[in-house]
Amino acid sequence: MTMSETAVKPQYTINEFEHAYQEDGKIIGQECTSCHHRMATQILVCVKCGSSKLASVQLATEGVVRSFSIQNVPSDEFINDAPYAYALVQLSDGAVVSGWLPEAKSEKDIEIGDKVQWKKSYKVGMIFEKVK
Amino acid sequence: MEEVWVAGAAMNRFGKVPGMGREMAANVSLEAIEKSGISPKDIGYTFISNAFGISERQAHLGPLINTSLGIPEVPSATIESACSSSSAALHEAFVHIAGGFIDAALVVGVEKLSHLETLAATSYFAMGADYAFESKNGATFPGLYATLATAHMKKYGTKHEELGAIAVKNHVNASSNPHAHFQKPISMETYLNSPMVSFPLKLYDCCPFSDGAAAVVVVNPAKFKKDLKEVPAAIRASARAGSIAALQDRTDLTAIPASRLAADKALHQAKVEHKDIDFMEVHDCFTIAEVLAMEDMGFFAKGTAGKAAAEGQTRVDGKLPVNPSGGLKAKGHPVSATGAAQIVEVMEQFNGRAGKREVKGAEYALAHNVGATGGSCSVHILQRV
Repeated sequence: MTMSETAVKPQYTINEFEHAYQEDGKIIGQECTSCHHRMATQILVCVKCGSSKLASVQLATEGVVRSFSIQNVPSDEFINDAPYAYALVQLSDGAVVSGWLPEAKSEKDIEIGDKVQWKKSYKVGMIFEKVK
Repeated sequence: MEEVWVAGAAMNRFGKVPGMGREMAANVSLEAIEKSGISPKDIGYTFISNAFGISERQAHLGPLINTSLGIPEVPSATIESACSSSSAALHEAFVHIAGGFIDAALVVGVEKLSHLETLAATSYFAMGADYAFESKNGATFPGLYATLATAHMKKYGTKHEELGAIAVKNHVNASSNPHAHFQKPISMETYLNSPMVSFPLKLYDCCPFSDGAAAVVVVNPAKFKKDLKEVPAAIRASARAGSIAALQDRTDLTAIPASRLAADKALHQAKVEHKDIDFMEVHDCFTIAEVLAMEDMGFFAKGTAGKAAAEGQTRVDGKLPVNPSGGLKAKGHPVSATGAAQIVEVMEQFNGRAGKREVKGAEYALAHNVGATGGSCSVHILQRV
C-alpha cells in the first residue's frame, strides 16, 4: 500500500488543539491505531511504527513531571509571569505534553515525579498545578 | 566522488559588531577567498546562512554578498537549520563539489542580534523550537536545554561543578582566541555565583548573544591544488541527521539522537575511529550541550562526560581537547555563523596559528553543530593535508 493510498488528514488542527484545552477543558492527542503510541503534537505519520492510521483521542488531564526547568528570563509572551516552571508532563495515559506551572517559582517548588494536573486558565499555554 | 578540501576560512571577532550583518558577511567572505588563493571568479556557488536576517529587515542575502564580491552572476541560496545553519550550508557545498557539479564554493554564515533587546533576542532564539507546542507553553531556548540538564542530573548525578569545569575550560581557551567574544578566563567561584537563568543553568552555563560572521572556501583539489596558499583540511566526512523536533515526544531526555546518528555516519564515511580524532569543536550553546555531545557521539560513556571535563581530560593539553576555540560558550554564538566558525578554528589549528590553544600534532578534527535542541545536527571530520 502506498503512502498516497493511506494518507489521512490530520485529526485536529493546532487551533483546535489549543481551543480544546482553553475552552473545553480537554487535552486532545493522536493515537496510532497500529502500535498505540500517543503524541499530542502535530503528526500525520506515527514516529514509532510509520503507520499513517491515527485516531484522535482525548488524553488524561493529570500526570507526572518527567523533567522541568525554571524560567527567570522569559520570552515576550510570558514577560509578566516569570519566574515559573516549564515542565514535560507525562500524562497518566502515556502521551507527554509541554506545560507550565505559574506557582512553581524555584526548584524547591517542583521535582521530577511530582503529580500534576491541568488547570483551566485565561493565560496563554497549557497550565498545570501540583496535586496536593 | 570528488575530493573536497577546505582551502580558506575567516571570521571576525564575535561580540557586539557595528553595522549590518551583510557587511560582516561580505568582509569575511573576501578574507576567506584571499586566504585560500583562489579568485572570487572561481566560486561556483555561494551558500549563505542568516537565520535571523529578518530582524534586520533583510532576506535574500546571497545576491548582496555576491555583488559585493564582484560575482553577481554566481548562483546563491540561503540555507537555514537553526544553530546548525552554516554547517548545513557547508554540507550543501560539499555535496555540490563531491558530486562534480561545481569546483569551488563559498559558505558564509552571519548573524546580527545586538540591536535587539534581551527580550526580543530570547524570543528569536526560541524560534528554533516548536513554537505551537513548546514555546507557547512556556519553553524558552535556555529552558529546553535546562530541561535536558535536569533530567541528566537526576539520572546520572551530573553536578554543577562538572558543568562549571566546562565553562571554566572554554573561557580559558577563548582567552587565547583573538576572535572570541569573551577574552578573559573565569573562576569556578564566578561560575557558581552567577545568577540562575533557567534552573539548573546559570548565566555562565549559557553562550552569549553574539554578532558575527564566518566564511569557508571549499574546493575540488583536482582543480585548485596548485593555487592554494593555506594548509588545507580535507573533508573526510560530511554527515547530517535529525531527531524528533519537540522534547516532549522523545523517549530519552538525556541524549540528542541526531548527534549519535550524524557522528556514526561521519565516522563510517571517514573510515576513522573515535581514537583517531585529535580534537573536537562541539556545539556547547549551554555547558550541558557539551556533555551531551561528548556522550552522544560515543567519546565518553553516558553520564561520564561531566566528570571527564572536571578531571581535565578535555582541556587543550588533555586526552581529547574539546572546543579549543572557546566554543559557543566563550567564543560566542552568532547562530548562523557558528558552524562555519568551527571550521575556522580547524584551519587555525592546522595552519599553526592557534597559539596557546594549539593542539599539537593534530591530524584529524571533528566539528559537531546542533540545530536548536537537536532537531538537526551536522558532523564534519577534517584531516590535515
